[in-house]
Amino acid sequence: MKLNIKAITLFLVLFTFGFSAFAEAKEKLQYQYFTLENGLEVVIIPNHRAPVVYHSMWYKVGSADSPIDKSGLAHFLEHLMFKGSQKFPGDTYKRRVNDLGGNQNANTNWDRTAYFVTIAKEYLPIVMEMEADRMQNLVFLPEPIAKEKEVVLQERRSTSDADPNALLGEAANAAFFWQHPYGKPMIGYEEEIKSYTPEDAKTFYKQWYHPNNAILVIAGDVSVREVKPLIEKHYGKIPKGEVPKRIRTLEPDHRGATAKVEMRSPQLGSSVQRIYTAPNRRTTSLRTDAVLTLLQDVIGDSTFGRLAKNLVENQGLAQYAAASYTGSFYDPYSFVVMASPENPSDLNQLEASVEAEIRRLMVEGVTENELARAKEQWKFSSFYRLDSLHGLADHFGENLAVGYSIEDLENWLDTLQQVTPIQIQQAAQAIFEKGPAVTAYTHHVTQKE
Amino acid sequence: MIMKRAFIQFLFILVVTTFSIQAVASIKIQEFDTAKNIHVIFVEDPTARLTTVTFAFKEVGSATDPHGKEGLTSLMAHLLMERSRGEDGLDKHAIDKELKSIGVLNGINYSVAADNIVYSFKAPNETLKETFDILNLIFTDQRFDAVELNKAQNYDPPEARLATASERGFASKILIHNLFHGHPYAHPAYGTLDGRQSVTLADIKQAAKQKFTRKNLVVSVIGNVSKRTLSPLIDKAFGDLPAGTAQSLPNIASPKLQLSGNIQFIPKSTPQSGVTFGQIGVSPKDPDYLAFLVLNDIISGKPFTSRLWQEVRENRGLVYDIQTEIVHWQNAALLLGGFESENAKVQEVIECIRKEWQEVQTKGVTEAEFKSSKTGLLGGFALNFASPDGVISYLLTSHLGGLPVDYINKRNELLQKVTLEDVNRVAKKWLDAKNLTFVVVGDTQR
Repeated sequence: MKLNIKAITLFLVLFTFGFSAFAEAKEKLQYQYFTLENGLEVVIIPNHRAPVVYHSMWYKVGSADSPIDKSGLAHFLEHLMFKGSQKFPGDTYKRRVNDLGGNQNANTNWDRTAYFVTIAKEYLPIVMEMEADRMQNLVFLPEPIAKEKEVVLQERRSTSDADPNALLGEAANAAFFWQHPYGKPMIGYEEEIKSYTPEDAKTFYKQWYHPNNAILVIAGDVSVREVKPLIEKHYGKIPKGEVPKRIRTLEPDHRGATAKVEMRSPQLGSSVQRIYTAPNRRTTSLRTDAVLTLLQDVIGDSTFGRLAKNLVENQGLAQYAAASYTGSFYDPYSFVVMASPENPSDLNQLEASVEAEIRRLMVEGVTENELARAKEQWKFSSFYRLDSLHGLADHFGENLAVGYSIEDLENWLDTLQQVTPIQIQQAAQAIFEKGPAVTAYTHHVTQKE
Repeated sequence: MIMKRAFIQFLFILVVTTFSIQAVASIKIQEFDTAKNIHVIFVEDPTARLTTVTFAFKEVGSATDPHGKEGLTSLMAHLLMERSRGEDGLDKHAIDKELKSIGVLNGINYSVAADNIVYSFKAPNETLKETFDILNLIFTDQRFDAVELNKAQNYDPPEARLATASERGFASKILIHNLFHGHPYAHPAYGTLDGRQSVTLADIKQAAKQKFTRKNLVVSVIGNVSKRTLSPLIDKAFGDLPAGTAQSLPNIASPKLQLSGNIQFIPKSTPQSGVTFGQIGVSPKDPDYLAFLVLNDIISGKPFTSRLWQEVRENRGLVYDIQTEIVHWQNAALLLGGFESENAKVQEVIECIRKEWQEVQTKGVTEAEFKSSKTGLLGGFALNFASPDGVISYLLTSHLGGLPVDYINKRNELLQKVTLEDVNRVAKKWLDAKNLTFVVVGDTQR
């Protein structure tokens, strides 16, 4: 056969192009999703890197669902989940996980309470047995509860009272939300923590902790075939429960009223945050979420964002500038733009410059190039998520708990890619027109030693 | 019937326990020197979409800062990354942009410690070569900027001052300073406020010549890349660095620990007190190390179930967390712990700690405690392997600590041999309740 050089060259070019296009194609997420008859949602993510599993239980209840005068109760209940259940009293759960070489933890935010165990795969059945018991048979004893209140008060001291940044956050959220429970700290106020009774915790537990109000996400050295029967065995027999409707007090329209919050401390640097009202995914659409996410990147990415380029790099006015948005809240929350000045005495000027950048974007819009740049980063994000055992599992847990669907998670990258510059500009106009609901300032003050 | 079941159960436990030890015995580690004599520790992982790289310049950390210029290494490492513009415009901003656009989303991170300077990054497999090219630029076209130096010198690290630091952070700084008094390990990695002011641009350039050499460098990698591809990439990145001379920096002598057994109170108006405490520790190279690891685990190292956790948090509700860990330097080891509590409760917590310490030192630990801790430490080792970060961290730490590189594959076998007698012998030998030293920062009366 005569060698046709031209044809071979063309073939090579096509092959190379084809190969990189293939490499760029969406990586198919490897997981299985199903729901038990009692309503428990389950996601299984096989990962055979090591003979280890990550078992995470996500309850669709958080601090914002706490009774109105018991802020932080959901977080307190999270602590009590480690104090013993009927079949595994006292510290049995903790001891057993530790004895088997597992890692255990939990955390609470406004919208969900999650419990995690990482452990050698052969102990998964034991973990499930214990987890299932504390889902329905938690024990509420006055002595351990009283002690745990002290622990939570100390946790508040460490994470909030002694941290001026955290205190600023509490003040800013309280100013941002006049009615909605996001205006209260996730850990609760000190006075309300002190007022908790065992009855409060028990009532809250019985209302919210049911299989039909939970999502189980398991990642690790398992196959669906081997783990599905285990899940049925341990969780399948727990009866469905009556779960309250998840309705938080609606936040009224601030009608353009703005609030300023300030904090002065030697432990703080100088900064300004402009906090704008913004929609979330659940009450709007995945498209809206994607548009605002990219707006966040275009404005606030630390390397190629508008603020980084103009205020940090070109003008040398800011030491640091960023934007922050996520649609991953159960109720609408915020879009934040922040900056810290190169020179603390220039804070006002910095704020004016940030405002000017925002106005410019609203008027001129964004370029195709800028948008393409922002989109490109997201292509790599899935690699990072898959790099750890818990990355993808947490992604499912966090988002399913606040109203994303499985299809949303599948379609996220595609939805991002479809966003247009006009959509970004329109979203910017909608978000920024009325100005920030809250502006928060931190001021560094020096103190005589 | 019952006996048969018990026997089967026993077999099951035996199999299960054996399995979990065997299961972690087989990381295939390749150790080699590149053509340009750079030492590499490498694990090939066909499942990885990202390549994880950690590299360290050994024995050139902040402990080698000259007296009066404490902070030199920290400033040098900072300025290396804060590249100035130059004629080609390839400053820090340009490099950050480039890294992000090739998928190195978290940038190149570094940390200066007393003994070593450690860098790390993750890159998609597709752009590993470009990332190593950028490393070549950073390390061989070093640009130290006088303006950036001035800026860094005008910025006091928050941990340096009582007013700006967290309570526990400042307590920690003072404790280390006291324990290592007069020795280069006494000052934090960022140096001292005076030392930092004394550093000149010439100092920094000189230090970079001495510290960034191929002789000091070790590179560890986990990724879906072959040795044949990786080796020249590493040489491309670092091959232009000076070879390094045999002895350019002073040896760090072993410190003489100054354990007073006292409580030092540092008054600060604050809602909580931050407390750190410490005594002598045991190095990984010491034959007593694994027994000491078990001892620490039981007394205060393991959250939820350690003695201190039980006594101080569970039974008394005095703290949110209380833990100790074994911290080691090239030539020293400490057992360090800390907690925060209400100002008024600090004394009670300290008394609890001293009491448990004395108890374990004189009476040892129980069989039950020992069994729990040992099975936990054996079974939990597998968790290190669930992500590349776990593996690479262990490999590099072992190497920097002077352990054989395959320690990761031997560790459980060695731990299996530790007995209750070993642990209690080590408790008598190493625990030192009398000289357990505390620093308290808070609103506490003496």
